[in-house]
Amino acid sequence: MFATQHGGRRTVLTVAALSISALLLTSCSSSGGTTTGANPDAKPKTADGPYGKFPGEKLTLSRWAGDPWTAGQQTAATAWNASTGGNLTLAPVPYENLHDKQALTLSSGSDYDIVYVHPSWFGEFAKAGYLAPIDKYLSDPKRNPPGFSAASYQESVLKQGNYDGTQYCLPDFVSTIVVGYRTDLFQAAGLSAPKTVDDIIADAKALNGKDGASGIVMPGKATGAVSDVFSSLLTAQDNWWYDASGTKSTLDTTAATNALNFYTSAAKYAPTGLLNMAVDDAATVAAQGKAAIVVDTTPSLSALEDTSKSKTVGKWAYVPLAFTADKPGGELIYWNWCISAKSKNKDAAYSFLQFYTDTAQQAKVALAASTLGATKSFYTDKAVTSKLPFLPAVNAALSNSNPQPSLATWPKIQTAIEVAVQDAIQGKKTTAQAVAAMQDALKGLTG
Amino acid sequence: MTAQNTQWDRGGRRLGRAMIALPALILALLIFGPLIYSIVLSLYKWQLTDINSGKPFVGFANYVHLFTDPQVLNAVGNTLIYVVGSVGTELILGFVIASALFEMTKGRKLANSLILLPMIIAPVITALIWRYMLDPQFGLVAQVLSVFGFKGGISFFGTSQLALPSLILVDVWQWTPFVILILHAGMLGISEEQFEAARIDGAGRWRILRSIVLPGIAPQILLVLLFRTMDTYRIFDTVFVLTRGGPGTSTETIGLYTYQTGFSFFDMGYAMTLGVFILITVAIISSFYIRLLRRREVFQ
Amino acid sequence: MSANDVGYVRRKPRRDAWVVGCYIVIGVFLLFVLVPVLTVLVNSFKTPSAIFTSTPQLTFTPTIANYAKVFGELNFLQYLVNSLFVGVGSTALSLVLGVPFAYALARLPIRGREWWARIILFSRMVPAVALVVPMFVLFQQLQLTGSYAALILAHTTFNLPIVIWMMRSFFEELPPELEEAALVDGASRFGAFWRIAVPLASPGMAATAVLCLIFSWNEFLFALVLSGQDTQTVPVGVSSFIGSVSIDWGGSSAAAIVAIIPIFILGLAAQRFLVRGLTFGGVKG
Repeated sequence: MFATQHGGRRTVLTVAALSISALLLTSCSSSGGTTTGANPDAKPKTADGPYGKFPGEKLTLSRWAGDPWTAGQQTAATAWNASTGGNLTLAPVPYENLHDKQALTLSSGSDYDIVYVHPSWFGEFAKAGYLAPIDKYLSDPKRNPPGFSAASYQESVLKQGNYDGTQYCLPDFVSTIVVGYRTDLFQAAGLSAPKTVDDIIADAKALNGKDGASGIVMPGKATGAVSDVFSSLLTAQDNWWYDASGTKSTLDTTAATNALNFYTSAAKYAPTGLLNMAVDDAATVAAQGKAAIVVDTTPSLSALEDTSKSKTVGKWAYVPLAFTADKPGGELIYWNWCISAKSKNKDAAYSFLQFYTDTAQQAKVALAASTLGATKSFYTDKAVTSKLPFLPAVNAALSNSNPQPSLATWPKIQTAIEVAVQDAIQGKKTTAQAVAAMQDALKGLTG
Repeated sequence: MTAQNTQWDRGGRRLGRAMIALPALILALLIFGPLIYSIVLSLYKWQLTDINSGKPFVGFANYVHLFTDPQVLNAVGNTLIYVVGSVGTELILGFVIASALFEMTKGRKLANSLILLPMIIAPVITALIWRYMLDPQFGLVAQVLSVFGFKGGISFFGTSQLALPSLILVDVWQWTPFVILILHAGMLGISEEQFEAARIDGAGRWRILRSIVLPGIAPQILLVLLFRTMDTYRIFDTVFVLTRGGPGTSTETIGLYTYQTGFSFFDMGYAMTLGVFILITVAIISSFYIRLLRRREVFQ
Repeated sequence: MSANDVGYVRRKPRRDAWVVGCYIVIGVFLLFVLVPVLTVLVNSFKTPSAIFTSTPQLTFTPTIANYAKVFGELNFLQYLVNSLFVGVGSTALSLVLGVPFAYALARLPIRGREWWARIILFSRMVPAVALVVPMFVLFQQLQLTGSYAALILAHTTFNLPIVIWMMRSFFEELPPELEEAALVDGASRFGAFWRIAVPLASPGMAATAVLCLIFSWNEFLFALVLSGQDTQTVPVGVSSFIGSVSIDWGGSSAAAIVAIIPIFILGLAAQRFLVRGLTFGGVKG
């Protein structure tokens, strides 16, 4: 019943000219004067800053607490307040409880103006009428910097905030699963960069136990990341969980078996405790020099290059996941910024969202926390892109991508999928049984 | 108490009514109101985000699902292991420590204060503490093991065999102090004459423990059993942070399944059904204990 | 005097193997109890890279950055104040409502006494997961969500049954002769309760209050769902260090220590009441 929307498989993504890598070449001409880093002097100063004046208008923003993003957004809010005269405050809650808090608050008169919405509950919020449409803001030149419009965003990401033809949200937090490998260890063993998942397994096997490091590490705890990795493995084989209607399973048994075999093979060369490792645990193991290869989301991988957390800074190189060489794939991870339908200060709320999701601000987010912006000009901003070592791998992976599922039915299915993967790794289920369990879980798509 | 006078009795009855009225009203409003509401909700198909819109009435469909849901069976099984493992260990360990405390003459107050520490720590902090302690790569236990040349690390929460016992260990760490507190207090309440009489009879220490202390604290033991069973039966917070029910479903407890159904899968109607199920089962278990409590004279 | 004092004098110190064994058992158990807490204490002064090391590091350069973050960025003081308000508020409310109720159950000729006792115990069994959403809807109607009052009332749901359950036993343990004497001397029923029974049961009340404060201080689910941005309590604050992709181990350790200290001090101060109060008979069911 919730599955009528936008969560469908983007079968034509590869041909949908707006793949991120393609944009690197085309965005300058298509998006007018909004690029920031490449040529900062060529456009009016306001293009960088928040747009409009909202003296005394109060805004409350709902997001999760912790992580570098919250601190960074606090800084952005202070800057926006100073520039517009508005009064934006963050209302962070623990990550695991964000949905409950938002759902209950929005259902009851709401004191939120801006909500950070995960794909898995965007459709429900939009359907329930909790979110305000932003089409008219996006197309109003008075509300945006010169030349800025819906076309300034990556189409494939922006349309994830569209429900039944109405745009509700502006995206950011673009990320995917990529593979990091230790160049020093690879060199010492005479190995070349892994091009396919088979290479990864072979290299992990070869390097396992060398220099006190395991062959490979990745998330194994059922927190959603196992499903992200699995989704990426499916995407790289041009397969996906469900069809465009979001109600029918399209999971291909061969593709699922291949993906599962990768997981179970890799687990043989993984450190102790794999099945209780969340994304950050896997990244910590890698950062501490305890794994030669790591498969993880980009925000977690930022720990590898952070001197305060990593003993292996500068030793990593990144490639996308691929089953056949030069045919990578990845799940598009993103979040949506939306305005509450009951907000009294929607103009101000839009001003902040435009400011926050635009290139200049997202460049700061990217450098602090390694998620990417969703604007086209973000990817041409050399000042940023040159500092993100995994960006080429992300671009390659997202050139063939499926968006993270945004179905209300998904969280339960996702848990069942992750349990199946864990059972297969533990040998409690054969590969065939685990795939069958996934197929079975996908019956839940109909709600 | 025996009321000798009808006038007193009438006054007592009036005062009794007055003393009971307001708290009863508050309880009705805060616990039984919401409880009845959640029982009503368990008859509906209700997605959490559709809080205002249509909740189709489904009758007992959620209850039918409950009895055919294999995850419920698995979760109840895990929960029972967890309850028996935790409460049993806490009781035995608590009795041993409380008896040892009872023998102490010097430093008892200090030991008593320090022992209480885990009990006052919030479950979320407890979970973080143990997640770090038992981390197979970087935890304190792994570090100590590596000093003794054991480098592989033990995957406490990452294997089906060890995950549930490890969770029990965490519960034992947090709640044995509560058991000690209550049992120790019970031992202090045993009258000195009983000990003296036993000693005059030439009873040894084992005998005193068995025939004086153990029966003397029988009410406390039953009370601890009752409260710890009630609380462990619906455990979810530490499990959620430490294992999320994994690996696989090896540590999924009924409390965690209820929490996830409502707050992760958004299926509030079914979550309420599971909540009612927890309440009924825990009430049955408790009534069994209460019957024992009632007959506590038997032990003395 | 109190049973506690009796306990200290009744046995002559004997240093035989049994007693030595007892000290060893206590010592080992104390290690088990204290090492995890001390580890957190040490970690709270470490940088992330010093926390995650596979070999024990006995020497490290301590940093107070984690505490600076707890009190600066996160404004943990606000969480502490909120927890204090909610804890004291709900404990006081539970005592005010629960003590007379318990007395009535123990002493007064009321109808359906056992039924009341059973209802009280039953209300302690309702899982919070089943209560919290309906309670949110209720407080929404009363326009109370986000207020201290909402949290105080919510915490009263689990503290009030404890108070009634424990205080009932305390009152039952009191010798009835004192109250009867007061009644003969012309005191009212209420006077006998207020001037005789309540003062006599005060150690029990203190012990009960400490337990209520601890339970309230550590409660998470109600505190999360029913609080507003300005009324979040300590456990919610500590959870803020568990992000979507990372746990701030240094920050959460410092926050944990800050959260433990006030309630630990309270525990130390109330230790005397706790043991004496519980010994007094309050937990005989």
